[in-house]
Amino acid sequence: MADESAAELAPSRRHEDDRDAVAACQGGEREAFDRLVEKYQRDVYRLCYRYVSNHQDANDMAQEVFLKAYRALDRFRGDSTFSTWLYRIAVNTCLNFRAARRPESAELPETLPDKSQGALEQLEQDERSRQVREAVTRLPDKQRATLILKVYHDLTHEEVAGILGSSVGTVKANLFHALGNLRKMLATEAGE
Amino acid sequence: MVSHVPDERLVDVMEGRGAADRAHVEGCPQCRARLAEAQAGLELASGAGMPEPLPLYWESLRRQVSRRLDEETARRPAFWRRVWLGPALAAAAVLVGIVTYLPTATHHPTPAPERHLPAWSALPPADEDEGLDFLRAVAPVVADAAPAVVCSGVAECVADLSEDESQALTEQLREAMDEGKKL
Repeated sequence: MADESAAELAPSRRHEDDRDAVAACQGGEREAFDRLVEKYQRDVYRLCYRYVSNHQDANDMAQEVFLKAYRALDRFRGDSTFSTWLYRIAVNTCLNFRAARRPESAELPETLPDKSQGALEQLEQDERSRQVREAVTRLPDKQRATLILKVYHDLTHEEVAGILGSSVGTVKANLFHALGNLRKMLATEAGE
Repeated sequence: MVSHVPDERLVDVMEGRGAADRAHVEGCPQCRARLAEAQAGLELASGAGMPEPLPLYWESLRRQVSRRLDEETARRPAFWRRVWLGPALAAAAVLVGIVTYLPTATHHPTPAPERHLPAWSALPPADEDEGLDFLRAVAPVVADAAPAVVCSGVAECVADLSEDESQALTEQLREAMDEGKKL
């Protein structure tokens, strides 16, 4: 996962720690799961946020992901890494989630805090980002999942394939279509 | 007919791999346009940040998850009790059934035949029994059949009789007594 706290550790060490924590959880040590939550909550939340583009839904979904993981932990046999397994739960939760709220609105504050050139540029950039995020939420499910995992979580094609249960070729094709569709949607909105 | 580079291999070109396909793309306007579209999409996607929650939010999320896990853990025993109660009761019922049924199934006690003590079982010993001579006189067949040698008295003799023999003796006694009354 791309989380900075998790990324500080070498992958093998990280997975070893995860295995120990999972084993402790399976042995009934609840606190060990708290450590896993602490470690992966940022990645899970960000994945969820990219899916729905609003904080409240992302917060609900992130909690749901961890509860599902906790309930299913007894069935985790370590065939994949814990992070891949958790991502799979997160993606499935996102795919099954019906957004209760609309993407966060683009309304600007009535009074701008700063009228300097830098502040205006920042506002424009924020608005462009919001438009992209909102466009991402309108991509077909598999394309959206692929783009989010690949672009925002910096996973390899193989890792994405493992999470989504598809082939590497399919992942690449989905990514290609997602990027093309995103570009077309935004060009249409911009009147290009 | 020109064969264009498939979508998935254009991703490799976009990521700096696939030298052969790159050569094709450079000379093919259609593939070049497709690649440019995907690259523009990637640039847009990569540049789109997302609002980061306040640092305190992560602590809040962790606590919310922990609280819900606590609730879940607290509910779990109740859940397991609920899940196991049915089978446990069923198992107990089966066990009780087995325990109570087995003896009756494997051993059917037939009621012990009701042993009616003959009325003459309290008669005195043979040497004091005046009735013995009388019995011999009125029922010589039965008396002869009786093991006189081993019988020390009427009571002992009749005690060894079978049910049928007792019945036959009773009948003969009744007949003899009726005849005696008539006489």
